[in-house]
Amino acid sequence: MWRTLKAVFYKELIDAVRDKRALRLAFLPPIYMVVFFSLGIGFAIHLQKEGNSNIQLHVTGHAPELVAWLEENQIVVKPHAGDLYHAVATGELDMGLTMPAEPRAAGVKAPLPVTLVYNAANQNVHGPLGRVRNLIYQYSSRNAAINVMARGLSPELISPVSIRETNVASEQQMGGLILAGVPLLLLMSAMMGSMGFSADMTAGERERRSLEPLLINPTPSSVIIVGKWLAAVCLTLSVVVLTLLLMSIALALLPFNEMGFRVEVGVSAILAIFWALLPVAMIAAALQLALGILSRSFKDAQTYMSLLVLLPMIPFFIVMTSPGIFSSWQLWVPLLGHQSVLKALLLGEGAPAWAFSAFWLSALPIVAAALWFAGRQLRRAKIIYG
Amino acid sequence: MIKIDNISKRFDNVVALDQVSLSINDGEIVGLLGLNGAGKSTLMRLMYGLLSPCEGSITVDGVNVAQQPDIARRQLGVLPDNAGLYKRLTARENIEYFARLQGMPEAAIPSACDSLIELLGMESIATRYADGFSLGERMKTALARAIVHDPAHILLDEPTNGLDVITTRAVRRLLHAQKAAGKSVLFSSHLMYEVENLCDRVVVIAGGRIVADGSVAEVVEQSGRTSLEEAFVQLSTIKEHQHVAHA
Repeated sequence: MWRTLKAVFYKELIDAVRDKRALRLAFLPPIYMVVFFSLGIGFAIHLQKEGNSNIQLHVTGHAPELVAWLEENQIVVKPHAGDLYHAVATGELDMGLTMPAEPRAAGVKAPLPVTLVYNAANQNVHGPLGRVRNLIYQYSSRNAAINVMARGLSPELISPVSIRETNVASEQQMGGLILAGVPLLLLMSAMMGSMGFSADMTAGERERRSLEPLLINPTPSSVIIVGKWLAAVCLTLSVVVLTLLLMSIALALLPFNEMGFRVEVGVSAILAIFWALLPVAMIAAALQLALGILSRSFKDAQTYMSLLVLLPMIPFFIVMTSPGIFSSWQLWVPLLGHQSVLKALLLGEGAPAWAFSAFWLSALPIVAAALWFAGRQLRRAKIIYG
Repeated sequence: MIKIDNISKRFDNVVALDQVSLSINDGEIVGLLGLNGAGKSTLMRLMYGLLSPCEGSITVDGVNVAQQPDIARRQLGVLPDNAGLYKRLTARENIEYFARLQGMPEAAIPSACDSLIELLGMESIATRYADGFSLGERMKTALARAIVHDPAHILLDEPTNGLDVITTRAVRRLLHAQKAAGKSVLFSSHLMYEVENLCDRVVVIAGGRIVADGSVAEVVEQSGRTSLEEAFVQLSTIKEHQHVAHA
């Protein structure tokens, strides 16, 4: 039995390594996923740098002291001719500030009416807007303090509350916001790594009509399926290794420090991630074979299997939209548990040791059921002759 | 010896085989003749256990195919119709793979492959990938892989279909060699001259029933015609068999 298992395993590996089409399908996605990820992050870093250092504010009217204060604080103030509201509404400008039309006489002590004009639906405006708004508040309280002092009173009288903010997130945790997509990317690569190979091992056998001769050999279905599965798992793992390798290089090279984040993913974290992805690869290969054997052709199989690629999206959106709901039972749900543990590992937090046992124990019944199902299907006359 | 005992097979409401009984003795080449849809392939599929019969039983050297299919399959070398190869393996690798699945000892595989490659004249294609093989090259590879484990009984579904003369001769030579070694061979065919040249016995199947069984001369005589082809047409189109296929 071991000899035939080995024979099936080796044959499928050789067959896969010579299959240019499936090789492309397996090894190209990790490359372009990591490249796009790096480009995206790089672009975000660039944008943030740009956004904070170079805020432009278009203004109408006159308030020279306020303008001077803004310019002192690195805001580029530009006079705007024409309707500021219209320009913001049409998207011509991100935001603007209207000030009184006539310059005020010195010594007038009434509030200076200014209006910040912005479109809140515009995502780009929130950062610069907050900065400008803060500066105007600062200007206001500074003048208030001067006025109070001029009347011989303490400026503390007008600040009954003094507020300070302390962000306790470590630099590395802040990186988590940026790295939220990485577990998804890794899980997707584990789910789709051997898709083309599995399709060829199952639907491919049917399509080229080699399934019937194969089954005429005195080899139990279980041996054939398990041999194919082992080959598919090995192929998936090679794809996962490639993805992890490229990802480590990308994370090491991207200039996260420019965003005020620290991203350090060490060798032990990478090994732990690989260890966590192994059960995912086992589940993926088993489900692929089960779906593949139901498909008449390679193309059919790919259509069914592409559903598997979408599976990791479900936990991704759950974790994304409700980051606070983590509880330990989630570790028993494949993909959902992986999502949180991979994220923790990337952030250098480490995972509970039993999480890995949970991954393995929850994967085994799924793998066994899928392989049992595939083995049963293999010998149905409908599958062989259909 | 393969013994088919009162086998019936229905697909939904279509009767494919109706109480067929047949024995194939060792050292005998038996030709199975029948029109398209007469039940030849179904009969063969029942013999190697990928279909299970509705009634009756098949034994291979005393082993019931339905009950112990894997033991029975060790005794069988089967070339199903339209057998696909693994395109990214060489002809030799295709043969070796099946030898391993049959459980042959690793040491015996190279020599078994060599002798089949020589017998079928496959030297020039042995190390080529099966992708791009001609029909004849595919057929020879599939045949070699079916009998590499030296089975006691050989079942071939239309082995010489579409083959050129040289290849047909190679197949014929191979079958004679098998017979000489005391093996039994059952092959289905549409080619009358092939059957006449090769077979010790002819079985004609029509409408899911065996309508003639005997030597070529006996079958011709039974139908009252002068040639096997005439006899075959006569036997296959008798009205009383027609209803069975659509009952």
